[in-house]
Amino acid sequence: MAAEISLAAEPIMTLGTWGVPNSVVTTWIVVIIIVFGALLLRKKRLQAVPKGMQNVVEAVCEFLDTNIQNIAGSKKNARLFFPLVGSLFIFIILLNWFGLLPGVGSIGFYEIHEGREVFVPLLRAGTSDLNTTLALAIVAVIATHIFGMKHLGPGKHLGKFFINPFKRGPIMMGVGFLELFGEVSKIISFSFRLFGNIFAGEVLLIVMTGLVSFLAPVPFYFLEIFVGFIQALVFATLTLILLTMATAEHEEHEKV
Amino acid sequence: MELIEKFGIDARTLIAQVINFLIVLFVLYKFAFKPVLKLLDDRSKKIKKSLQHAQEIEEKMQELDTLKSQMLQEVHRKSQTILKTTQEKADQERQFIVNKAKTEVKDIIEKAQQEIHTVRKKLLDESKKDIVAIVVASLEKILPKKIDHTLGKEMTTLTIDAAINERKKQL
Repeated sequence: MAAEISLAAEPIMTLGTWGVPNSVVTTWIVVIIIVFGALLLRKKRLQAVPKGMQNVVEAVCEFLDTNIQNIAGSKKNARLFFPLVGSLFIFIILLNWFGLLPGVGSIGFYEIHEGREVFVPLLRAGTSDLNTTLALAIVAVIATHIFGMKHLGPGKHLGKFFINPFKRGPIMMGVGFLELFGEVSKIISFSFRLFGNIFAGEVLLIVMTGLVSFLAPVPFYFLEIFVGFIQALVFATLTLILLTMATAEHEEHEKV
Repeated sequence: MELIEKFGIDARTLIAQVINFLIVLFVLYKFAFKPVLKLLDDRSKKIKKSLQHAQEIEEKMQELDTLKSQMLQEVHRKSQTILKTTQEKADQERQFIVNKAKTEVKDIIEKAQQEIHTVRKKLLDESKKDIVAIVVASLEKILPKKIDHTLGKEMTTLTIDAAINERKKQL
């Protein structure tokens, strides 16, 4: 067997008291790739008649734009949500796919841990660390609240969660608390969905490679490429739906 | 808490990943999404505009086409009327010229006939006089008894007139 599978990301170096896990290193690499790509795009200047890579960038942006507009309804809202949702999609899909590259998760060293020799890979797919997915989920949920407060005003937005029991009754107050708890469960479901899918994919690939080293894992790699895309899409779409719901008028909410 | 340890959740890692994502968000928004979306919007606007333009041009072309055919029809009609009027005018002119020529010819013929008539009359008168003179002279010579000159002349004239009248009747 090639590797011991650990749920948590393994620290591979220390920065002060913080043991930097391999997933963060992978994330840094992806961030650097994205920054370089963006700077390259800026340096080359966008042409009115697209050529080469600009076509790909435009196609991705157009794909995101049409999908976001379909869900957000109005173009104004779509453009408002585009940066966050698009960034989430691109960041997650690159993190997912980066984990599929050969060497990620398989190149590493052995370390004595709690009296046992364990394999520690140098790189680990960013999204197969719960820290990453939790961070993204927290950002997404907080962003929905920021947009909601901006759109409806802080009082009206917070009024969805904190309801005066003397005015609207104790039941509505309970509903408000449920909604508040729902926000926490949103974070948990967001983070665990993404983490679970990508981690499971990694485990699946390791197991398949362990069973039959040649050819057999290839279809599973294709599957994981697809899963990486789907999970990024799901995360971005759900964020978008939350954003759309948060900026919707309260009245609409109540009628349902 | 055991769960947190099991999943390796660490506040610092969490914050690091949040910062990573915020960097990505900023960079993508600033250098990719904003310019690309603007480009796409501009392009779609441009395409819309050019399509509208093309439609306008087509409409104008159609308008021009109808105008052209209308003008052609008008020109055709006008030329037809011009042709007709000129033809009519020409006909009139011809008629006029022909009539004029006819009357002129008639006049000339009349004049000629009159002239002929007068000339003939003159000739006839002259020849009558001559004949009378000749006849009278010859009768005077033939007849021994001199007849009265005037009487003879009258008689002869009467005879000749009768002869001429006879002749005229014959003619």
